[in-house]
Amino acid sequence: MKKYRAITTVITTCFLSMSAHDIDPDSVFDFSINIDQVVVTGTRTPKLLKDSPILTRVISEKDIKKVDATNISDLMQAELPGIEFTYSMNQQVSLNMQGFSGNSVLFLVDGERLAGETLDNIDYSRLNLADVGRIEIVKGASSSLYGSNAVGGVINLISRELTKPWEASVSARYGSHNEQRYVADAGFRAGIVSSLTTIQRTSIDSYSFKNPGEYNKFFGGHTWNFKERLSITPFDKLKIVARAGYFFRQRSSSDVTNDRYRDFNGGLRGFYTISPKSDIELSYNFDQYDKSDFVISSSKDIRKYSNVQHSGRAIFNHSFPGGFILTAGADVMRDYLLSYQFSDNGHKKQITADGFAQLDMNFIPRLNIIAGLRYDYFSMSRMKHASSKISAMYKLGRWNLRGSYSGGFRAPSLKEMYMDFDMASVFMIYGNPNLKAESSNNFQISGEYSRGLLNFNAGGFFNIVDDRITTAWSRYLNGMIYTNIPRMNIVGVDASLSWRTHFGLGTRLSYVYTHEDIRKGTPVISATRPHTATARIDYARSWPKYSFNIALNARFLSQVTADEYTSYTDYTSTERVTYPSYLICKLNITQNVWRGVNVILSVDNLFNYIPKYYYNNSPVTNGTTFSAGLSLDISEMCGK
Amino acid sequence: MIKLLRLSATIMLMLPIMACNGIFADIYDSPEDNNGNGESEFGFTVPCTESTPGTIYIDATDFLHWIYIDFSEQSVETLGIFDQAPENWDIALHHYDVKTNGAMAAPTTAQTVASAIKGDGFSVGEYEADTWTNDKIAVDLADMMSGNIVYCESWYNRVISSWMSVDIQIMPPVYVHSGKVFSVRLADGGKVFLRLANYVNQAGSKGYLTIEYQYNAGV
Repeated sequence: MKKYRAITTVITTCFLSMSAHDIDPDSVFDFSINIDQVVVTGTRTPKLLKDSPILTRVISEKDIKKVDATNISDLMQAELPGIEFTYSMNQQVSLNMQGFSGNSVLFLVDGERLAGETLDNIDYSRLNLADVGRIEIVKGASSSLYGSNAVGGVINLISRELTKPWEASVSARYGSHNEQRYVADAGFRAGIVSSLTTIQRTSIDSYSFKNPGEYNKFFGGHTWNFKERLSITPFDKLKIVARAGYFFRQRSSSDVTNDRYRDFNGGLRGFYTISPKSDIELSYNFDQYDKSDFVISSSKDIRKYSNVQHSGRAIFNHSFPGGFILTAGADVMRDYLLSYQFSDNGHKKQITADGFAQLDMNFIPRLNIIAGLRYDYFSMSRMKHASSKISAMYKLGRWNLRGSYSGGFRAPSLKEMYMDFDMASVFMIYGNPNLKAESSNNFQISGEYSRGLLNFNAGGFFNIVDDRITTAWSRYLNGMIYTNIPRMNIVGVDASLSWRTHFGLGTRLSYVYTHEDIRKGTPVISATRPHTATARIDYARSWPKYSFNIALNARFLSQVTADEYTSYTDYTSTERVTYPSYLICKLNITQNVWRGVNVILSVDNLFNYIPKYYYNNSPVTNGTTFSAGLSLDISEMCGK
Repeated sequence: MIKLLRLSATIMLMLPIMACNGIFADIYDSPEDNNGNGESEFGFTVPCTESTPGTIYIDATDFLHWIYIDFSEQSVETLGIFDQAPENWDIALHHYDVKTNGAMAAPTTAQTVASAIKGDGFSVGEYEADTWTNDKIAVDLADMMSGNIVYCESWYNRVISSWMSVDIQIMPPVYVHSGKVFSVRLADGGKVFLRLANYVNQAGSKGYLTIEYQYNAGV
C-alpha cells in the first residue's frame, strides 16, 4: 500500500509540475476545482454555491468552451439532462425542460427578462455565449423572486467580468454546411472605468435532410450580435453599470420572404453600499424585440411584430445580527406589444408591478432556511397573484440535504388574451381575456455529497400544475382559442456525479427521469422523454509551451410513446406514436499551440446518427459534422 | 465624471418617455402594396410586345372568385365563383388554380418567357386540355381542420396549375413554386407563353400573382 501511495504521489507531483505555470482559471487547460463558486440566481444575493439552500447548477465559462457551442440550445442539451430543444410549427425552436415548455421557463440575462417570443419561446439565438461568464440554472418554480413565467425553472446568463487591465481576442470557426462563427471582443480597465465590447457573427447554409419527415429542409441564415458593457465606480460605495446591445437574425425560410428578427436593448444599473450591512440596487432596463418579413422581390422590410419592455427595479439587502439577511424589492414594467396576430395589426399594452421580500435565516450553524413572498399585479387583466417559497438546507458531515416548496405562476400574455389571427385562411386563433394564471406547486428534496474532487447529487421533484394555458379547438367558434386545462402533475428524479483528478482527467454523468401525468381528453398530450442523460469525460495536460484539452460530450434521450389525437378538432380518438431514442456525441480537441493561440477541432455526432424520419423532436442533423476553429488572445500574445 | 453620470442618467430618464412604444420604427418599410400613388395597380401592368414579355398582376386571394383574363383585349375581370363567365376570355384563375377557355397547355424547359420568345433551344412537353374536376377548386376551408373541404365542380388545367403547389394539410402551408414557363395554344389559334413570376405582393402577402406572359394572336 505504501508503495502504491508513493507511486501515486510521484505521478501526481510530476503532472502538477507540468502545469505549474500560470493558466487562466477559465481556460479549458485549467483543471482546478472552484469550490467557492458564487451564485446569485436562487436568492438574488451572492451566495456560495455549496451554502445555498436553492440547488443551482452552474455552467461555467470553461464548460462552454469545452462544448464549443455557438448557441444556448447546443450548450444546454450537452450539459443538462431533461432539456430538449425541438421544432414547432415552421421550424421555430421550442424548449421542453422536464415537462415545462419554453414560456414556463424564465430566461434572464444578467437578471433581466427578455422581450419577444415566437410560439411561446424566446429567441434563443439572441443568447450570445461569447461574453457569458457563467450560466446559473435553478430548476423548479421561483415566482416568489422572479414572478411570472418562473414556473419550471430560471436560467440566468451572467456576463463575464474583466480580469486583466486590458484584453482583446478574435476567433473564427468554420464547419460543415458552411457554418461560420466569428467573434471579436475588447475590454479595458482604467481607473474607475472598465469596458467590455463583444461582437459576433454566425452563418450557416440551408440544406436538405437525407430522409423524409415532418420537415425536409434546414433553414439557413445568419446573425449579428453586438454587446457593450461599461462599468464606472466613482467611489468605493457606488458602482454603475451601463449596457447596450443589438441583435439581428435572418432566416431563409421561403423563396419569397426571409424572416428577420432584431433586438435593441440597453440598461443602467447602480449598486450602492449604504453601510457594511446594507446595500441597494436600482436599475432600468429597455428591451425591444422586432420581427419583420424581408420581401425578396420588392426588397421591402415589413415589420409585423414589436414587443417593447421598459422595466425598473429596486432591491434592498440588509444583514441582521445572527446571520439573518433580508432582501426586499419591487419591479414595475410597461409591456407594449404590436402584432400581426392582433386585429388590424394592432397593439396592446399593460403595466405590471410587484413587491417581494425574502428572509435568509441561519438559526443554527448547520441549518439555513430561506423564505420568500411576492405579490404581482397585471393591469390589463387586473390579475393579482401571490407566490411563496420556503427552502432549507442542513449540513450533515459531507452531505448537504436540501428541501423546498416553491410556488410558480405564469400570467396570460397579451398575445394569449387578445389574439385574433387568421391562420392561412384556414381557421382563426382567438385570444381569451378571461384566462386564469397558470400556477404550480413545486416540491423538491435532494442530497449532495462532496469529498475532495468528487461530487454526487441526487434528488426528486414533484410539481402540481394547475390551469396550464394552451390552445384548444372550439366547436362554437370553429377555430382555436386559448384556454386553461385541468390539473396535471410532473414528477421525477435527477442525479449527477462529477469527479476530477489532480492530473487533468475529469468526468461528469447526469441523469433525469421525468413523468407527466396528464388527464386524457385535454388538449395537451405528454411527449416528454422519460429518460435523459448527459456525460462528459475530458482530459487536460499543460506544458509551458503547449497545452491541450480533449473533451467527449454525450447526450442520450430515450424513446417516448405518445397517444396523439387523430383530429385537431376532437380530443377523443388517439393513435400511438413512438419517437425513437438517440445518442449524440461530440468530440472537441482544444490545443494551445503558442502563447494565446488556440486551435479547436470538433467532430459532432460522432457515431453518425441520422433520423430515419425527421419528427419535430428529432435532432437536427444529417450525420457527422466537422469544424475547425482558431482563437487569438491578443492580450496574452502580448504577454499581458 | 459627474457630467458623464448626469448625461447617462438623463438619457436613461428620457428613454422611457421618448421610446414608450419602441425605437427605430423608421428602419422598416411601409406595408402598403402600391404603385407610388397609394393605389394598387392590377391587370395588364406591362403589355407585351413581339419581342418582350409583359406582366399581369392580379389579386387571387379570395377563394370565392374566378379572375378571367382576355389576352387579345388585355382585360382582367373578377367574378364570383358561381357567376356566369364573361363572353370572351382565355384563361381564368382561382387562387393558384387555372382553367382555360378550350385551350391546350404544355410545360417547357425554358427558363424565362424572354428566352422562350427568342426560341433559345428549349423543349415543349405534351399539350393537355382541361379536365373536369370536383376536388381541386376549394371554396370553403372553414371546416378543413375536421377534414372537410368544400370544393366546387369546374374545368381545371392540370398543366398550368402545376406552377404552384400548396400543401394546406400542414401549418403553415408549404408553397412550392415551380418557376416553369408554359406554352398555351388558345382556342382561337393564339399562342401564349406564361410563367408565374411571383406570388406575393410588395408587403409579402401571398395570393397576389405576378404573371409574365407573351401573346401572339391567332391568324
